[in-house]
Amino acid sequence: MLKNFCKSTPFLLIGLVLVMTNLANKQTPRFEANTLRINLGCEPPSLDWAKATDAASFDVVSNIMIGLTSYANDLSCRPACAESWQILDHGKHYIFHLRPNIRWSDGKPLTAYDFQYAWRRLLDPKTAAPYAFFLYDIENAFAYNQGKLKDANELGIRAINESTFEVRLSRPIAYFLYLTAFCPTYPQRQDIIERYSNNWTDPGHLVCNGPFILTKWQHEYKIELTANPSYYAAKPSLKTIKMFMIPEQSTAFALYENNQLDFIDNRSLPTSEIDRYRKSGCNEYRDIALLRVSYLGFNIEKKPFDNVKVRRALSLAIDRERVCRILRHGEKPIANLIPPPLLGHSDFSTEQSYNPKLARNLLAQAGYPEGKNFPQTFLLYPHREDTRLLVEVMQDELKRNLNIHVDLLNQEWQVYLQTLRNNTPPIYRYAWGADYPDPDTFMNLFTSHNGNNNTHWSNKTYDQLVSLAGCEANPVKRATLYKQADYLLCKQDVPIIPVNTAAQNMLIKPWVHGIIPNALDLQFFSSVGIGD
Amino acid sequence: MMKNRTYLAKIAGCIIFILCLIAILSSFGFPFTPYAFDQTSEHILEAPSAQHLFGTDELGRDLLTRIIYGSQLSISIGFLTALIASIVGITYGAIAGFAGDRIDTFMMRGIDLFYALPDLLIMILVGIIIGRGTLGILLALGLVSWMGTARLVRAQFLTLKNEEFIEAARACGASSWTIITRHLLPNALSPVIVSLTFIIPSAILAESTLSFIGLGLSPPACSWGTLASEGWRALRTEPHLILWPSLFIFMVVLSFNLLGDTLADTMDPKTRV
Repeated sequence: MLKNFCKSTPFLLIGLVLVMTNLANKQTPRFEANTLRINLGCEPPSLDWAKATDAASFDVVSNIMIGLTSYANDLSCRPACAESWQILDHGKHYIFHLRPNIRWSDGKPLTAYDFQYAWRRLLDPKTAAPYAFFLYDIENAFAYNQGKLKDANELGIRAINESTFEVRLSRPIAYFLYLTAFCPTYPQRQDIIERYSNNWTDPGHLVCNGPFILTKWQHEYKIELTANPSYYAAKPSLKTIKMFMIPEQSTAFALYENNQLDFIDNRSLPTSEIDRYRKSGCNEYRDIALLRVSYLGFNIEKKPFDNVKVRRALSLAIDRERVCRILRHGEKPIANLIPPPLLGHSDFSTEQSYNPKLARNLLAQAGYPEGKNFPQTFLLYPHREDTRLLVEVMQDELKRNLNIHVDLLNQEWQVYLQTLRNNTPPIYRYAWGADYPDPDTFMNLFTSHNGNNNTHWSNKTYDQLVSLAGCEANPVKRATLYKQADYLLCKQDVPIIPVNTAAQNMLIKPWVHGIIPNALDLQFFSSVGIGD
Repeated sequence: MMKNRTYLAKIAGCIIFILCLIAILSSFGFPFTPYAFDQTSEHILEAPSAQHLFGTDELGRDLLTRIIYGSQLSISIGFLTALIASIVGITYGAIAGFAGDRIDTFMMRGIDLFYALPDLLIMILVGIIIGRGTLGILLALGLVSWMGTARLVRAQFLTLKNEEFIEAARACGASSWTIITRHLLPNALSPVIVSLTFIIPSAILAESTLSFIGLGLSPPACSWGTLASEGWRALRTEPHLILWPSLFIFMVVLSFNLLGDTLADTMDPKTRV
């Protein structure tokens, strides 16, 4: 039996080679007129923007929908569905005035009631939206989402009339407008969702108000968007966007080289190719630093990481610059959670973040001189190529600098997320990308009540600092508060070890114009054009 | 023709012997270069040079050292799987063949059952139950490779047990145990040995396949399969990463097969020229 299995391998390989050479030899026109072809990397788990959490879903939604505001190229908020807004009561009361001429793709006018419905639905415990925390600073929103309050009318969300939308906050958070530019807060249609229930995101059912509409969704193969004729602003010059779902990096890359994809990013770029393109100075290559921090988290209830000295020792034993040299995507070392250029970030310095001698001292003080008697422990990481490399370097750094051995264990992404939530491993690898260009999106993560704080670490001072900073109007004071909180998190208590910030690497064919990458890694294609 | 074959087999034997020797010696730390596990970020992905004969990998480790280290696992998995397969296979086949009748039918249907299950599925299942690591892989491979041996031994026993020398032994009052161990087994062994030389390379290949699709070892342990899997991703830019491990897999599998062929020719008098 084993022999049969082995016998078939060469044939499979030969088949694979044949398919590949066939692909490589096939001559196709360089591009399709007015069509952008990109790779999503995987099937979007949900196109319901109240439930989506991942890049693949957001890439689709942010091109078919617009919210109250939208991001300009410099990531400032500009009016979108809302023509203007008033901020009253020292930043606790917002009134949005909607544009009169916006229509849904089925012809119905967009009203403030669509926003009221969408926001209430996002907060409804029955929706179980992962992004419900986005609106927690609205009056009574937290209690309603936790099921302690039943009446949705008590929420600080109200449509005054067809074109006026009112929001009351429980505290004057400085970054509220950013929230209205991101997918979870986009309007939704009550009649559509109630009529089709779970199938409302299928093509034909789904109605939207953005530059494109969803016309085709062939599962595990491709999504097709076409220009929305009833879009209120300038019509996009693209007629069609084809979003393929190719999980294999090298396959997607081969398709790009063969002119079957027009634009690819990290999802479709093998690391070695990034190197090659960067060095060749090819003008198809572009990169941008992202607001995305990858870190190691501890379960501070598990031995030996309940001891703060051990955690500090590990943090000081990692040469982050070396990690970045090995990862080769253009990562930058970071020893704090707030990445530059956000308010309150700290500059990285090797001397302060990498000190093996001090690390060994700390470890000895904790009772493990030269790593002796260090309990057996493991690091959990998701089964993905880039993370494997990172954790292998970590393993090596800890072995070399502290003489401790950490086993590496990986799990498939969904299983991994579940394990983190239900039974947090002693060490885990995670990365967090900013949802809005404000330090709060990072600092909020490790407050005691945040659902994404898997470290079991809870610190009242930290909670207070983050909460104070969120409402502080003066940027200088705000930065100081965030710096204090960041120091407490990454230098003093160390429930996490930030390692590096990420970068997006892209290849864009010369006939694609108008792709402007941003640090949030949101991809908007309404101003993209195709042609020589 | 025959002469040519033995000549090839001798070379194959030498290659196997040398590789085994390297694997054994390396586990005592013999030819390790200073770059054994030292990841050095200054030497990431270097092409083969005098300092690093096979080049370095993406963590800056010397590939030659990794391949030698990987050979420990790949080769020992080959031999251990063969051992498991022969122990289980010979016992099972001997019982079935000697007992005959109903027990034989029953046991052979059991083998059919095992044959019907897809290899990869069993290996993945065992991997999940036992956990990833050498033991898991070993058991998984052992579990899917003993049936061939068992059938072989049973067939030999069925033909041999009616021979006159067995009848003679029985007439002399030998017990079943003595007949099996002293008379039947030694005569049934030669095809088994030949089949073993085919099980070993199959196991090495299967382990490589498992590791290649990511079900094998967890880092930093490595085998030729994991090395090939890592190298494959950089096929276009750093071909040395895939070239060397696959060359070694190819070499050892081919050597075992050549050796096996020649052994089969020599041991089976009917095909002797």
